[in-house]
Amino acid sequence: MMVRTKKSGKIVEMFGCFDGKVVDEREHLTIIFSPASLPIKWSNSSLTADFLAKYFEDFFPPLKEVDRERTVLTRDEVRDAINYIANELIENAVKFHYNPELEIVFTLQLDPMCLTFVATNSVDPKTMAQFTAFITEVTSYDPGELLIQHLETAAEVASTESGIGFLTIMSDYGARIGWKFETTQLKGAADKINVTTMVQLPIIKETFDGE
Amino acid sequence: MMNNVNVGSLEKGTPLLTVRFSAHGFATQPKHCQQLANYLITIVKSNLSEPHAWTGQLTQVLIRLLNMVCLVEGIGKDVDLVLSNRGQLITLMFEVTASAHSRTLYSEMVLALKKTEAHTTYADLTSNETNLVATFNELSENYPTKMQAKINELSGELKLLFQIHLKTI
Repeated sequence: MMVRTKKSGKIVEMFGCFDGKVVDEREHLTIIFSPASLPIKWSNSSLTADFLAKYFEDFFPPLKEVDRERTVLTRDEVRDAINYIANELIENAVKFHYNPELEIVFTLQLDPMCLTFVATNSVDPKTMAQFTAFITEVTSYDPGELLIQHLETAAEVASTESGIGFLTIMSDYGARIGWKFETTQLKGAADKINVTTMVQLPIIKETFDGE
Repeated sequence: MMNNVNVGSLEKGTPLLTVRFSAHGFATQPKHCQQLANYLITIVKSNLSEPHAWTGQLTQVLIRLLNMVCLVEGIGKDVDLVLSNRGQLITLMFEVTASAHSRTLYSEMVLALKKTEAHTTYADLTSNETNLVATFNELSENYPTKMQAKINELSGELKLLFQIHLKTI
């Protein structure tokens, strides 16, 4: 599903499950990278994911205290999920960030029903069509089946642009993903596009029930 | 509309890394202070070609500030940390929104730094608040620091900004 609006001179397009609500009161941590002054190395993604996983695991009970009837994730599982999802989102944000003068922003927030991951980076306008085609595919079919298809294709052509990370997040972790594109149209210059990727990882069993 | 009380003008450098977080997690999980300090230092160090003395100083400063402020603020308040550089200075900007109980304390701390006499008497401080004042005073004696209390006249919100400079050479 795609929603398109225009506000303050910006075209905003949302795909998948994007929840625009911002709740400041909850446990949250935001890291803002400034690639123009501190270049982001490849290893910084895993360092950041590892830090976030250790930081947020403490808000979850250990296995022996977990109510398995209601809770989806134990402390160990939360650590593993945060590590994988945060690493995937930060790696993508860094890899596809187009304008080094702009910041890369990553937030992890603990909501009552889910952990919300939000990554924002700039995008090359020339790659938009390919990106939205991928999103349309991911949001239209069963992520489990798509993951198998993409794994087979990636193995055949040794591709690194397979989108397997997003499909794994949806299929193996049961998370919802949404994207928001904000396009600023400039006269006589290429559009400026920012993309925000949101992943909502359920931590309580009924989180996405009835949807 | 803002009404500022300054001690020294705050300087803007080139931001390297910014972290914004809720103080609640730090108040309930003190080891988070160490984790965050270690993370910041590791990221900065990974981009340096050789070890620098200021990274060790920064670790100590960060841990002390985080511990103190989060113990005083407790639940619900946001803390911003901005690491930036300006010439041969690395600057750590620490910004915290005051809660109802810390508001008076922060205003008094900024005014105290403006005074020339050595001692300021604060009224009714808890042990955490006493430690916070002592930490700021000690840091101010050892490093070039600047402080500002920024009051939003519409919302009445008060923010304490504390800037500390570390020499890179």
